[in-house]
Amino acid sequence: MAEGSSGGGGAMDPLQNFEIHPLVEIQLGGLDLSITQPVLWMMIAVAVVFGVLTFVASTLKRSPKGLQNFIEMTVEFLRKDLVHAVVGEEGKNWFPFIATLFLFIATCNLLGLIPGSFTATSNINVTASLAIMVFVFVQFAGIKKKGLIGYAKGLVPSGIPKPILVIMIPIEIVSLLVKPFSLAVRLFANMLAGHMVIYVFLGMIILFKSVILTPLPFMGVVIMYAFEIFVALIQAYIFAVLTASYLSDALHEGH
Amino acid sequence: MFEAEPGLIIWTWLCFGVLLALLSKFAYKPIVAFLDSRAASIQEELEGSEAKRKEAEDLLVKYKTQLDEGRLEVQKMIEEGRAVGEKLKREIVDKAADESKGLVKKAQEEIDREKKKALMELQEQVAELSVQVASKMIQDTLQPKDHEKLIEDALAQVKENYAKA
Repeated sequence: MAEGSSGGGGAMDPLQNFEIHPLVEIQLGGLDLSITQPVLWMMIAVAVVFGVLTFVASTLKRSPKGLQNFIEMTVEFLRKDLVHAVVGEEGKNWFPFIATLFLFIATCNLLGLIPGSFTATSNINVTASLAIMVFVFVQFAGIKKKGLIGYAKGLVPSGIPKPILVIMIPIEIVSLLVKPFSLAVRLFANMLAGHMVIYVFLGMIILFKSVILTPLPFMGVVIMYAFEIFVALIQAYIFAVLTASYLSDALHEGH
Repeated sequence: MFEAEPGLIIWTWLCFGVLLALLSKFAYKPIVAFLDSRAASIQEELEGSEAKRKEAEDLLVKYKTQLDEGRLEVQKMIEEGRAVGEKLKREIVDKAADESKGLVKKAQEEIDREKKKALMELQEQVAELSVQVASKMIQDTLQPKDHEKLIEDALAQVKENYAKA
């Protein structure tokens, strides 16, 4: 997060902190697969989540303490209060997918708060690819459950006169496509905006060049940081809960 | 920042896919299985403790009933004991009274027997003394007054002997 910004110009342009640069150049058949900052921090997130969960999974005790207690609480929350509560009994098979979404996004968001790191979810490509993946999986689940025709019928409310269907079908299709778009933009915009506000406050410290005024933006940074921790978790939860909700719509009788 | 980056999209899917596969295999399965088994064992223990509690309550009721029955039985035994004691006491007292009566009667009979025996001995002594007196009188000439005196002496002697006996 605290990269760049050596000169006054950098401090005044917070967006430059979100520009991605290749750290390791990889070209594969004309496709640029270079490891950039978001890729690196996603890999770190994968390692952190996998490391913590497998460590807990391999040292499970009947009377949980500390980290095991926290992981158990998180897993139970995701399993019962999120997946089961929203999707129902059918959501059982989808628990790993939704739980991984939450853990991956939350970890990426929280890692982005470490000074010098990069928030992978502040890049639209990352959030959009996650949202597209959710969209594809949800459609796949719906089609698998109801069949292609049954699923297509379920998209439009039943008992609607045919002339109105002409209007309804495009609306429903747009509504369907808007879902992944909103998923992607919500997460990206929240993470970008929160971090930008922090950069703006930091920029103010440099801009003011005043010991007397410095505490004001500094307080702003501290407050925003605390708020960003909350936002990081809440945005991951929103992404996961909306995925569960879309899945529930796809699996159950619509409208 | 807003340009499409196919490489980044592929990396995102790859990272997520790898994480999903790893967690499904190494983390979720053991954690969920552990949580389920622990929940089941806790449920089992709860049901077990509920059954034990019910059993304990039943035992308590049973013991209370037994205690009440025991109390009644003890009360009854005390009453019976008291009645038996009273009966025994009466019997002992009666027996003691009978025995004392028997003893008194026996003593009375003994006294009578001794009295008779003493009288007989007295008679024998009187007779002996009479013989002695008679023989004495035969040796000496006896006047009527002497006879009288001798008889009185003899009678006095008898009385004295009788008093001593």
